[in-house]
This record gives sequence, structure tokens and C-alpha cells, in this order.
Amino acid sequence: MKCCGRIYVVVAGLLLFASSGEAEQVSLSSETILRGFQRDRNDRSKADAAPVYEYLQLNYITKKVPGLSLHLNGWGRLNLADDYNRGTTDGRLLHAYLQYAPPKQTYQLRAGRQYIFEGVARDNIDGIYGKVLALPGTTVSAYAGLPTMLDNASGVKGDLIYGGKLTYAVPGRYDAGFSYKHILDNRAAREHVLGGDLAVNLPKSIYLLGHSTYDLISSSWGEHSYEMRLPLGPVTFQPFLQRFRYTSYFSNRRNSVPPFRFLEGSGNTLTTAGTDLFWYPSDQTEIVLRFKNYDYQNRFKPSQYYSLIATRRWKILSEVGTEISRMQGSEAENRYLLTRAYVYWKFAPGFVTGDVTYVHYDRTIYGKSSSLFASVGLGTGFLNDTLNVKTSFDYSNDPYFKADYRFMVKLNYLFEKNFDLPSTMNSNTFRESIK
Amino acid sequence: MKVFGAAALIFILALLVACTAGNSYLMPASHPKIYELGERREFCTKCHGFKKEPIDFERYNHTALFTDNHRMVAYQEDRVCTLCHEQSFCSDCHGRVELKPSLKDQTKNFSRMQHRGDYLTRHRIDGRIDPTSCFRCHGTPRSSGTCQPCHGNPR
Repeated sequence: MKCCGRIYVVVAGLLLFASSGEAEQVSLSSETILRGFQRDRNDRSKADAAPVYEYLQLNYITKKVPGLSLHLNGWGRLNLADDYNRGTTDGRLLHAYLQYAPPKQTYQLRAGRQYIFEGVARDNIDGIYGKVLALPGTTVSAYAGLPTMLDNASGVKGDLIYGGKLTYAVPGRYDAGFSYKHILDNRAAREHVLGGDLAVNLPKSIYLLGHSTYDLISSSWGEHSYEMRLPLGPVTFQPFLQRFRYTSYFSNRRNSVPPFRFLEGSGNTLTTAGTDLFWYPSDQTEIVLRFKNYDYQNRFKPSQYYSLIATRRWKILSEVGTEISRMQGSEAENRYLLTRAYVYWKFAPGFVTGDVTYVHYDRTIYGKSSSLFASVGLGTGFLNDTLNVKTSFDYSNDPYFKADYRFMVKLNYLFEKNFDLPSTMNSNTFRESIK
Repeated sequence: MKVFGAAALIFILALLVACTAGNSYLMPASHPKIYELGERREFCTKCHGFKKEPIDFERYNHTALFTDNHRMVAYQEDRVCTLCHEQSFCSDCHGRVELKPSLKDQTKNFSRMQHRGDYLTRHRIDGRIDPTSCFRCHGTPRSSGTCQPCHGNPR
């Protein structure tokens, strides 16, 4: 909760600063969520839980230095009734970074807490990041800092993450990238990975896309994942092939997480292969099929997954959808049939939603052979849609919860102010979050 | 030695910044707001067609399975994602958050988010069949917070 307190202080300061005429654009998004449900305590007594969550996000662009912006995002929780989860309060600063991306320049720099998505990197760091279009078609990026996802294990002493990516692209033909990542946990190597990714456009709108990772610690390949797009008349096939070698993909090194740490020693290899199929009989209708086969080197026999999804939109922001999926594991305990139907109906400024999911398990779990989940929701917008109120009421009857009722009230508030110049940053996410 | 490696990377980056040529395609800072264009499900090809240059827009069409498949295109070029999505959009699922994304946006049921409904039961089966998909998002001490009450703490 401390982090959210800090965010509020920074936000208040920046808003004051903005009002002094130093800001070009300020965007503030607040999501307040109140949940209500009953929970079972260890002594089998019942307790009413009412956690309230606050998600706060701020983007600030100064006009003094074109291209300089500040971005903050964090969440906090306070239990209003029974203590739920880890203590009365919790929270986290998800990102807080300064970005410098000068207009009409070919580089970008960031400093602070941020996410890195670069080839083999999908990490949250406290550090620096830079990306530059060095030569025509060639992009280089690099980052270094503390890996924040390790900081509750043994402190941050001796922790370090660094890496980078080199990409070469010939637009319309292909692009290829080589990436590198090294994570040290308490001075010991936690991850040391090389990665390659490739996208190739072939004639007739066919493409090949994929990536591979090589684990430098175990000196073996960890993952190969590739997919193609094959348009065939009115339908498009998207076949895929993936191979994971558990010895390299998982680890049992320091701070490794159960249950995955035990998989490293299984010596197993998982190969998945299958295809997605997309068919659009009209602009409003989407039909998707998925088949996926799971094959293992050890322990399990092959399993299959089949899914059919159909969606029909009758106007913007209004649609109905249905799904039927079957997980056909080699053993009865690994088989289920899932059916789902939902509706989202927008009638400005309000909306109504409905959602029902029923799952049948081939082998009973805690004496039950099925799960039923149902949810109805409604909401409306005020003040030109900058303030939204949403509610949902949920019911679940499943192996873990017997006739469980829950509710949620969500308040979204969006403040956006452009002081001078046209917008140079995006705010789609804000809009997206309040819709 | 490790610090030296990091410093070398920073130096190389700084050098490249200094040598920036600036004569290739420059991606805009942001995409016009989707909702103001009257769309919700984002099919890039609706406006951009099936051109392959400078971006293969079809690759980014948000189909019903895009949530399942988006990692491939994000690994490759996250700048296309950032045209419309800020980092907060990613952290709703990938960050250290308590509320699973389908709960945080319970009424946003058209998004086909992972773990909707009673996933506590289904994850026993999905996790046995393909633990690699769990590991991608729950494989660190921080991100495994929801796993630890039952599966134990990292060590």
C-alpha cells in the first residue's frame, strides 16, 4: 500500500506542476474495484471479505523538453472486512519510468521501472533501456538493471539483468532478430539465454513466424515455436509447431518456483503441433477452429485439444459468442469438455453483459464432475464517458466452491488534458479500460 | 565482469544513438484512438488492407485467438503493440497483480481473457498437459504469488 501512497503524492505533485503551465499533456486513470464474497477460514468458519483495489496510472508529457514523458502505474489493496490474501494491505508499483523519444528521431530511451519485451526478454526491471534504428533496417536495443520479479526472494543484492536485441528487417520480405539475456540472482546465473526470431513473407500472403531459444547454462535448446499463415480461399489456416525441452526451459536453480522446479529433472520434451482455422462468412461473423496435439518424450501419452469459437457482432460494441472445447487427455483425469456462451450489449451510455461457462470433467474432482460459472454485469458512463460505473454478480458451483456468490463494483475515472500541442502519445489504453 | 558487460552494452547503445542515420521508416508515436474510429475488435487490415510494407498488418489482426498467440508478434516487434497499448495494458496480466485479468475486467467478457470462470479446477488439467504455458507468466518468485499458497514457496 506504501507504493500507492507514493504514487498519489507524485500524482498530486504533477497535477500541481501541470497547472503551472509546464505540461503539454496529462492523463490520469483511476480504477477502483470493490469485491464482496464469503470465504472459508482454516477453522471452517465463514467470513465476509470485501477487498477494495485501486489501480492508478499517470502519463505526463512536458513541453519543455519535446519527447520527454513520465509514466506511472501501480495498484493497492485494502481489506475492508475479513483479512483476505496476504495481510490487510498489499500493492505494487508496476512501472514508473521516464521516456525520451524525440519527435522525428530514431531512438528511444527509458529509465526506471519498466517492462522489457525484446526477443527472449519479457521482464520487469528497475533500470535503463534504449532502442535505436542504427542503420536502415537495423534496430539495436539494450537494457540493464535489477530484475524486479526476484526481489522478494533474497533481496536485490547480487541481482542483475542485462541483454539486448539486434534486428534486421527488409519490409515486406522478412525480419530476423537475435537476442540475448543474462539474469543473475545473488551473483549466480539464473537465466542465460540466446534467442532468434524470424518472420518471412512468402508469395500468396503466406508467412512464417517463430522463435527459438538456446539455454547457455545447460547448453541446449529450450524452445522452438513456429507458425505459418496459409490463406486458402475463404479460410485461413495457421498451423503451428512447438517443442519445449524441460531441462532447458525450466530450472531448479536458486529461487526457482514450484511446481515447475521439479519438471527440470523429468528430462521430458513436449512437442505441440496443430492448426488454427479462421473463417469470416461476413464482416460480423468470426468462426475459429483449433486443433492441438501434445506429445511427450517421457511419462505421458499424447493428448489432444479441440476448440470451436463462433462470434457474431451486430453493431459496434455489441456481440454474442459461443465456445465448445474438448481437452482429450490420455488419462480420464486429464479430460474435460468446456462450453461457454456470452453476450455484450451496448446501448449508450450503458451496457449489459451475460456469461455462462459449464465444464464437465471425465473424472470427478473432490466429488464433483462439473463446474458452472455464470456472471451478469451492467454499467453506464457519465461525464462524456470519462466516468464509468460497472457492476457484476457472479455465481460459481464447482469442485472448490459450493454455490458461491460474489459481486463487484468498479469505478473508472479518466482525466485527460492536452494543454498546447497535438497529442504525441497514445491514450487508447485509457479509453480501452473505461469501455 | 558482469558490470563491465552491462557498461559495454550501454556504451554500444550510446554509440549507435550518436550514429543514428534516420533515413528508414519511422513508426508513429501512436495510433489514432480505435474507439473514435468506430471499431472495437481491432482488425488492422480493415483500414490498412493486406499491404506487407512497412508493416505486415495482417499479423496483428486481433482474432478470437490473438490473446493466445500474441507473444510471437510481441517478441518480434513490440513497437507495433505500443502504438495502441501502454505498458499498463501488459501488466494487467503479466505484472505482479492479485486480481486475475478476467476478474479485474469481469464485464469485458468479449476479450476472451485467460482463466475466466472456474480456472482453479481447470488449471490442474491444463497444467499437467502443458506446464510451459503456465511457466511463461508464473515462473518467477514474484509472479508465482498466486501459486505459492498451494504449491509452496521458491527456494
